[in-house]
Amino acid sequence: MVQIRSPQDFVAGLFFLGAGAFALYGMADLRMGTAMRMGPAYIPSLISWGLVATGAVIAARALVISGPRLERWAFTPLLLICGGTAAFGLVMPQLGLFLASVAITLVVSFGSRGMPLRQVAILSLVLGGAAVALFGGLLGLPMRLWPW
Amino acid sequence: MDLLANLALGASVALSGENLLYCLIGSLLGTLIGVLPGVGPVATIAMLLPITFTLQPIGALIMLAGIYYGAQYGGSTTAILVNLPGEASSIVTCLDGHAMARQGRAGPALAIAAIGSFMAGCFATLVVAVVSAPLVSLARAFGPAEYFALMTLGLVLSVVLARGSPLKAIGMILFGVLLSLIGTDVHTGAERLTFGVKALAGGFDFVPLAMGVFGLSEIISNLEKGEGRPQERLADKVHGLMPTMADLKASTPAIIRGTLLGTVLGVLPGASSMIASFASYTLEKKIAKDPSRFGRGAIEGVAGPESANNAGAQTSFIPMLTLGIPSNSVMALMIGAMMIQGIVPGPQVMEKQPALFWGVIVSMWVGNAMLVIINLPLIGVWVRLLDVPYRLLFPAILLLCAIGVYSLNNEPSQVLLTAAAGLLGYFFLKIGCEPAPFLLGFVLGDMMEENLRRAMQISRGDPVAMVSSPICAVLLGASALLILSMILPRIARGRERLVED
Repeated sequence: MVQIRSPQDFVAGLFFLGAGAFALYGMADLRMGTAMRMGPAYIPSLISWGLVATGAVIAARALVISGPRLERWAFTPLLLICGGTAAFGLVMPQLGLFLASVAITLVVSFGSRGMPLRQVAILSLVLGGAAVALFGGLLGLPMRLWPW
Repeated sequence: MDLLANLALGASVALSGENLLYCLIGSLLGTLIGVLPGVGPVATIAMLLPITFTLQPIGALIMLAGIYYGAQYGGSTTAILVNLPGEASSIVTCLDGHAMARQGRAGPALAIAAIGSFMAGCFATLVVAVVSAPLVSLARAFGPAEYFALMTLGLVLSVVLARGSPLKAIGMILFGVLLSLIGTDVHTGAERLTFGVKALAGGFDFVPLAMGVFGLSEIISNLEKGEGRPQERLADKVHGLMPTMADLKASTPAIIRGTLLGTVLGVLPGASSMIASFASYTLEKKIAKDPSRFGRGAIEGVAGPESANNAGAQTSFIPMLTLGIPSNSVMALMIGAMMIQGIVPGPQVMEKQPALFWGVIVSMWVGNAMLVIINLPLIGVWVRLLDVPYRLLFPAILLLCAIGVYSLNNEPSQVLLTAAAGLLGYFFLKIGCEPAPFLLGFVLGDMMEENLRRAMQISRGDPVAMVSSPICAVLLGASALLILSMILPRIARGRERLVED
């Protein structure tokens, strides 16, 4: 029976293997060229094969040598932090720095347990105001500040 | 006496009122953010990058350098007083520094950390000044093949110095190199791995990637661990700062050893100042008459690592300033900042912009002196900063990160990329892969491809020709030896012990 003795390494190996294979697939119709005149796919293909090989060795070793288990993922902070940051990028171009700052603060604050709603609201307004004053006013960065 | 003339030129630049001010602001801001746990120097510099956009190139670089060593410095203050490493490089400072603080000797610990850092900074700055000129003339003899070989050695070294499995570090490097190759190929104009996405045609940018992988994922994992931070207040216990004669006697040799070790390790690509401080701690413990004192407030355990990480921080500027090759992620950011200012890093900087080159070097010394003078009295202020609860702090940090990334070129897709990189960084954390080799691979990847392609064109596709140049042969030979040494089990075990101790 094949048993995964080192889940962390096994996943890491599969990840590298998959990334390499995916890149090879994505470059299938690019020219390789020769060593003297390398085409666009020459070096990326070498690297991808390297990734496939490294990943395979890591995954194979994980079947033999025991190692750390996979930890549980903390999805709430993960999604809120990444989502909040993305929200800033989405809000910024149309609605300006103030509302974008409020948006990111509102979203990410819920990543921390036990933050009262009132505090979140105050914090987002304060940070929004500070961002506008510092980057818009003091430093004068060419950014949209307000929705109008 | 070229060196003296050059240093004099540097001093005239660094000591001008305006640049002194930038140096001061940079080191203070760096300390401020370095004190906060969970924000490393990479995120700090990226966050504060927009502030330097409006400055002259010299002022901008001086300020960024100040932020970097200020951040190093701030990290040790929190490590000693509250047992929270502000930076990765001050993890070892926690061990004995905090133990000293518990015994009511926080003052001497802080003072020794400051004095050690300053001595190390002075020495390393001098090394940078002395070594740079000959290196630049050597670099002028470098062709594409030599550059390729040098970068190869850099990547191999980063595998050797990475913690954990070398195989995973190799995988991370390759993955980083692959990501750096995404986008339009400069030779043929062909789009590689863009899958028709327009935003990818120019390739990934370094700042959003670094910010996500280091900054965001760090914050996520801090939140995951909960906010049960040790709220032990030791700030009130900082009475006399003066170390005793016995302290000075014990720490002087440690400072010297740490400085030398850090100076050497800092130049190596991939060796962060963290490696320098770990190595110095291991060394001090090994040569101590009574190793059991370590972890219980041995002053050598503060003096050595603190000197080492500061020396390493200074000398890591050498490859960046002379060759245009970043030895770590912070230097990659500095290169990015130089490009934004319209300066192409490389050996020509010293010739074409001597005022900038020497000004930055002298300003490092000035900044170190400022840190000692200004920060010791300010320790109380820095510690009070830690009373701000993390739940109020991290949204502000994230906001600064987002603004920093967006302001690079007012491009919302960069912010989205940062968010995605945060996810990737968290994944790396969970599968036990260190992000540093990944970032180094990403930074060097496209430069390596470019140089290899040119080298092969020159040699008409003959790989053996690469080894025929003596510089190349030495660099590639050293890389091969290092790889061998990792595969041979006995040496590999020794390395593990060194890194994990």
